[in-house]
Amino acid sequence: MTLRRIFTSIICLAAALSAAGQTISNPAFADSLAGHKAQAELFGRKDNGGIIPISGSPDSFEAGASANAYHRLSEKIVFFGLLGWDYFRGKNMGGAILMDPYFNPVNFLERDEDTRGTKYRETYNLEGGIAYRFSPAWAAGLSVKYQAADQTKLKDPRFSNTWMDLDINAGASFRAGERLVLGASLRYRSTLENVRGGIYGTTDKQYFIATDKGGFLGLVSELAGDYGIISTSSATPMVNYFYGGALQAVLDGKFKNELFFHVRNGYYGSEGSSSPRYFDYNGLETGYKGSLKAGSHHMALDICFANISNTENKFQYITPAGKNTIVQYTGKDVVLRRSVFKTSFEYSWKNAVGILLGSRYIDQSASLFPLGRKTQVTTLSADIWGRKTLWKRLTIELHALAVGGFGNAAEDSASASATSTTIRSFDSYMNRQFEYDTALRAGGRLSATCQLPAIGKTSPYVRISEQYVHLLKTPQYLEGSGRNMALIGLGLTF
Amino acid sequence: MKKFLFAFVALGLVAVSCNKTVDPQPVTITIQLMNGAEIFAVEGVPVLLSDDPQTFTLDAVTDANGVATFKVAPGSYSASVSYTTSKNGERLVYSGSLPTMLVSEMSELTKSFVMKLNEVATQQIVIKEFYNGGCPKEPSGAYYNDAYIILYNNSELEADATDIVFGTLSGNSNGTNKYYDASGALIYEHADWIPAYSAIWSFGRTVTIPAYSQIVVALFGAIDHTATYPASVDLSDASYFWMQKNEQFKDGKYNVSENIPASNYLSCVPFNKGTAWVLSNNSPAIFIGKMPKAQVDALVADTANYDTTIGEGDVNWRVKFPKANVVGCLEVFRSTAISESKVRFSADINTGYVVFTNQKGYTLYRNVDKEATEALAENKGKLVYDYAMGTTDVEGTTDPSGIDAEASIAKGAHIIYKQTGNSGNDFHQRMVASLKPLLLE
Repeated sequence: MTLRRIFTSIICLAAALSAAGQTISNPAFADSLAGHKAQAELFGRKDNGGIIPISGSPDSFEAGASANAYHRLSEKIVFFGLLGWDYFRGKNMGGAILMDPYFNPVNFLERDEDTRGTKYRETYNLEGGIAYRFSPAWAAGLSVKYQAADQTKLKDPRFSNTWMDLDINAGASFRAGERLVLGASLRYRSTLENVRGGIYGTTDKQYFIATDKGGFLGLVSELAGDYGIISTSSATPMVNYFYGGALQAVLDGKFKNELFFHVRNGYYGSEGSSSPRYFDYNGLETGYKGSLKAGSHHMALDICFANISNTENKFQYITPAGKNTIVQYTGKDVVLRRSVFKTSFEYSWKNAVGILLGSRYIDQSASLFPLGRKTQVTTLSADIWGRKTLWKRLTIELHALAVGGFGNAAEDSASASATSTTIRSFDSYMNRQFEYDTALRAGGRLSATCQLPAIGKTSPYVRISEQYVHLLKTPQYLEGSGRNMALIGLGLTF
Repeated sequence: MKKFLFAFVALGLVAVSCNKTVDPQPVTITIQLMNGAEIFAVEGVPVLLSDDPQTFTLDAVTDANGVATFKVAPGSYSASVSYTTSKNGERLVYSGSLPTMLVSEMSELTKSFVMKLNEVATQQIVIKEFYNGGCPKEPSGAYYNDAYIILYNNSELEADATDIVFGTLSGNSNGTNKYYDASGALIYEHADWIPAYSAIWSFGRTVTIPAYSQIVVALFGAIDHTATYPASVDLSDASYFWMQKNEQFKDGKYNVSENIPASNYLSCVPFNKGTAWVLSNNSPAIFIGKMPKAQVDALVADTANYDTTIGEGDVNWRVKFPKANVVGCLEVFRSTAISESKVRFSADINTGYVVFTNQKGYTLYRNVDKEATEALAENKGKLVYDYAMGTTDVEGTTDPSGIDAEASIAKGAHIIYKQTGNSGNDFHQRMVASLKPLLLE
């Protein structure tokens, strides 16, 4: 399960309590919350099956605990917060070295597939925020989200990753009349992933890293020593900064709209004089999130467009007489341009039946002189669900799921005829990832949530969920046709 | 509300347009080949151009004026030429390199380059194999005492190896090299010497090598190393030679089997500190020369022949070994530090380098000259192809000729090895030392 999905799932829990809903990121809108509510949950989850991306595990276990709450302290002040911890263990994992390969414009892979091993990951989430009403018309808010994680692989070649994600939102809202609330917010986000390699076993083997600069095209280098793109003696950082903001408009508390844009820039490497900055990248994200509740109908629409451009720095090490070795930059090449367009649309009626449709379109062009590769992948998903509450305590949900897609994993070209090249195409990973993104599969999920008798002022519940998805054709590259997920959660609201 | 939305979208578009990255434009560069002070006006000479991380190699041929043209993205490149021709019935090899070319549109200096070619003299005696990277040992680590070098007679006539000497330049390929000046050139690039370090070894007696045959010289331990380290080699054969220990070189790794006669012992007079001959086990720069032993002894005894660029005293000085006496060399770059490595031999001695990973039992083995070897009538039906002992699976190199030299020799073939004066063209990293017998399944 990727880092982003873990975070999203926990935020969704929090969002379920928030009257502002997941549409609005401006913390000033938390001012509309009344009273107080809190929720705490423990969960355990088991996933098995071969329908996984190259960063996934065919046999994984996850457990976690989270607590989130909001509390109106006074007429003017609302506090909200969240604490979460997640533990993940995945067997037979190799391939992607970074924690969330979708997040970065450059990725690292283990060249050999026979070095798969068990990965462990722990994630901590902390969020706090405040909304303050200055006057009947004006409110302001601030929220800080902090996520930290560490991941380790326990088989050579071993990689140790640490992750930090700091996300700060500050905003204001203005009540422009009885029905309309407008808002504006600013956002600053900073992520840092440090990665370090290690070989602890006997040293009669060599291990290699494949650097995927786009479309699974890149170079292979040995994992050894201080000077590699992933070092065995120190951690190398992948850094991202996001700056941006959003504008909100909420009508009657039921029609919520947010337009957002963020500028992104980052780099991989160190900024010191004796260590290189391998890549610099920048991009933009913009989009719209909206939801409408009209009588028995509820709709939500998310549209997001993101592009990123990755530049590789060319450098050499030089040692001026009598001085230490320094890095001398000799040029730069744009190696990747990628655009991602995502949409999701949800409709539900009386909270009893609904449909959720999603799409993601990736269009990227990798350029590693003299070779080039274009990739276009479209992934579509659909989730049709029904919900029924029995005996006022038991809620049953049934989902029918389908995922499929199409595209072209590799359209290759060459701008010059090379006598030899060490640029490689990591075909086994490319084919497996493409099949994961596009292979048609269908399945279902059955969930049940049972409200238990109240204990004091708390309302405990237990929920279980079982999901199974199966490919509709025999897979060519994926190592299994099915994927099963079983989840159990214990929680309480108060 | 509408005005609000339009303003927002306009702001987003501005942000997008300001976010454009300008692609670097390709640069057309020219490389003019020179032979001494004259233009090497030969059409059709292949010139290879590689980017510095060795991601790709492009090739172009020269026009009638000896100019090769490429179109590449700005960056740092290196170029090399290895051109074989014949003149008056004699085979000539021209070799040249430009190790660092900074390409950009900034000025003519970054678009037009000149490469000086050297005529490579074909030698009768060559380094056939150099094994000193060590082999794995249980439970961990590597064993280095089993180093050896093989000299080979690359011709059909008996060779006189009496005056062959062995020397090395100091340091690892990626170490700080104080022989580079501020402009990035070796200070002895145009001098008539190279800075030998530690010691220069001589046979001290008449040594001959029959046609297409070899002699093995153990650098430290001329013993059966496999008795203790199964991944190592057996250097105890009576025909092998040994660089013997002396009053200064008395490290415990100097051992010799009783099989080896004292007449097969090499000797030296160390001129730098150390209890053993000092050479890198991950990226050596080794050479062989031709100089009578008496002349070697006189050379190292006279401090007037010492170079003190690195510093004074027996830790720092080097002996100026004459380039005219160098008959072969091997420049090795460390595989985990290629971009930080610099050549130690000047371009008139050697161009290019071979990449090496130590501690795995790999060896550096000379490539077969396919054309010359196949041309020998006596080789008909004896050459074994589909060479599988290269190390390309571990990002190493292999013999491009495809001929399995050892298997062919076992069948009675006469191998002629390549000599282009470019270590990268002439050598590859072989998976197993040739003296190590292959396990039969």
